[in-house]
Amino acid sequence: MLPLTLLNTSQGHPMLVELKSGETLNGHLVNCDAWMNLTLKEVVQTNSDGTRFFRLPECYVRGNNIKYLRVPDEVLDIAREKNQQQREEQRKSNQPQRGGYNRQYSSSGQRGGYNRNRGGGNFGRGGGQFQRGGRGY
Amino acid sequence: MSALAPYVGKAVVVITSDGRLFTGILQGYDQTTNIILESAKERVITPDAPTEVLDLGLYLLRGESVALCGLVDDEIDSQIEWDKVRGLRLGETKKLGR
Repeated sequence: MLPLTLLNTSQGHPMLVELKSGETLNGHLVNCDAWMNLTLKEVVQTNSDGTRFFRLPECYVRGNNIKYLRVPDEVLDIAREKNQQQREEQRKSNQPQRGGYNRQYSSSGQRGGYNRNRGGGNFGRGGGQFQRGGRGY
Repeated sequence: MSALAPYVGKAVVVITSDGRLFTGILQGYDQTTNIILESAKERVITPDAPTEVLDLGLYLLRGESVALCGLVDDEIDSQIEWDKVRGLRLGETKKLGR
């Protein structure tokens, strides 16, 4: 799984961001992008010594400043489920239409049996149109 | 070009640019070496005290902070008594100018 995919899935979840400066930001992820820029809300900012705390209702983090992010464990499971769902949807849209008669015939009225009429009707092969039964193409 | 693909799903050790040592299961990576570590643990090795292990959970490490990512040999790792290990603390990496 791509790290940025995990990050996108964790939108809405609480997380801890440690910056290169050693400061930490604890808050909920509002949004993120391909450069790991983040917007967080309800943030507690702690300095690198752990001695000072600030509360920020919102903040923007430029991605290049990030050292690492700590994310709740359940986000990994949520991301995996999403991946699976996406794969299933792709499979469904790639598969040709099967089962029963292919109703995308034109009015040439051709079904199983011989397809004597070439050139007319929907004879697509691949791309979702298959003729069931029949020996011709 | 070598990539981290063979390490995905396996236990790895990551050393970051600030000299910290993490272990965990590599769940993913990308071209900038951003890393997803599951069940991440930080091992703090010091010269005087027993090795500390901090449980951290799910970690997303930014590629810029990753210095090293190595495959853990479970056989060898299980034979090491980590609380007895002592060592000097690692320093930070230095960025050399162009």
